[in-house]
Amino acid sequence: MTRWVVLAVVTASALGGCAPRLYHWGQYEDSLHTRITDASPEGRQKAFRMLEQTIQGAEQAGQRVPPGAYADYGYLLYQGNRHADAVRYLRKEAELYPEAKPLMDSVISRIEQKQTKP
Amino acid sequence: MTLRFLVATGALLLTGCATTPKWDYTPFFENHPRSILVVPASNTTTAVDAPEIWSTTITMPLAERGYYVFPLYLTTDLLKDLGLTNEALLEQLVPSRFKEIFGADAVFFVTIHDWSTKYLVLASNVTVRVSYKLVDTRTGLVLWQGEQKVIRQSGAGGGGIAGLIAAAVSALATTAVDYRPLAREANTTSVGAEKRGLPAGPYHPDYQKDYAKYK
Repeated sequence: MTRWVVLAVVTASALGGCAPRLYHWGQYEDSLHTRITDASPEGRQKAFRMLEQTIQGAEQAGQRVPPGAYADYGYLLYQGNRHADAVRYLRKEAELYPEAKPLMDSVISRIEQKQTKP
Repeated sequence: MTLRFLVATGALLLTGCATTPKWDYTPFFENHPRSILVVPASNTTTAVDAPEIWSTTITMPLAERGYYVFPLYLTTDLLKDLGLTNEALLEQLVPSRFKEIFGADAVFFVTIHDWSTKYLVLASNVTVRVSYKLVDTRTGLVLWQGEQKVIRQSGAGGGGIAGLIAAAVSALATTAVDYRPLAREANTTSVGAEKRGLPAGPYHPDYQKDYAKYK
């Protein structure tokens, strides 16, 4: 009896894991985790590459880039002082997900204000 | 002995899957959100790193349910810029502020109740317990609430000498406990729970077709 309960629970969770995914996730979660656990420049670089590979992997496979990935990548570019590239990726997020447009617009205008300052 | 172990395991697994009481989805369907902002988790445990580690596991389950999830790293920094560093302040903030600042339809509040490893004689129990609350930014209504507890027992599986050695090894590796698989399971189970999870969002093929399942 108990054995059946255990089996049923295990089967249920196994089936849950097999559902087709909407997005290509790559190392998105690992990239976030690395930024939290390793604050060194190397850690940041590692997290940046993980996110870059996630986006490239999705684009190459013709799969959808997950919500937030372009924006997160753009933000890392901004932190690395690559402002023009940052704006490009923040725009990509807003194009793919209109829900993000108000926030992306406000972040972009902040970045542009900083650029014009001496 | 084997039977007793099975009973114990069954009980543990069942605790992990316990469902919360019935939920009225009327406010949810009337204000079906498209986008969700996850704010830093409130923490009642002594594990100081729990909220940050947990936060890395929530985007995927919410997005896979079909919602737009705001980029966590960026939004957390923005909240810090605004001086909204603690969860008590975030909970007190008028929900419409999240609409103004982020354009978010709903805010996802989380409390971490348990994030611990207990060492038994021959095994260890890792526990994660989390509760969730989704609030509409336009009306301030609570659209959904959930709670999930996941327990993983390790070390008692093998039996005999091999099992004892495995248990000793796992007990030594105290610093290496990775809570992410448990956090992921808690999030995915709660969000995906039949009749009690989050109805599908706009990027999911079942969007607005699954309401009957939640009545």
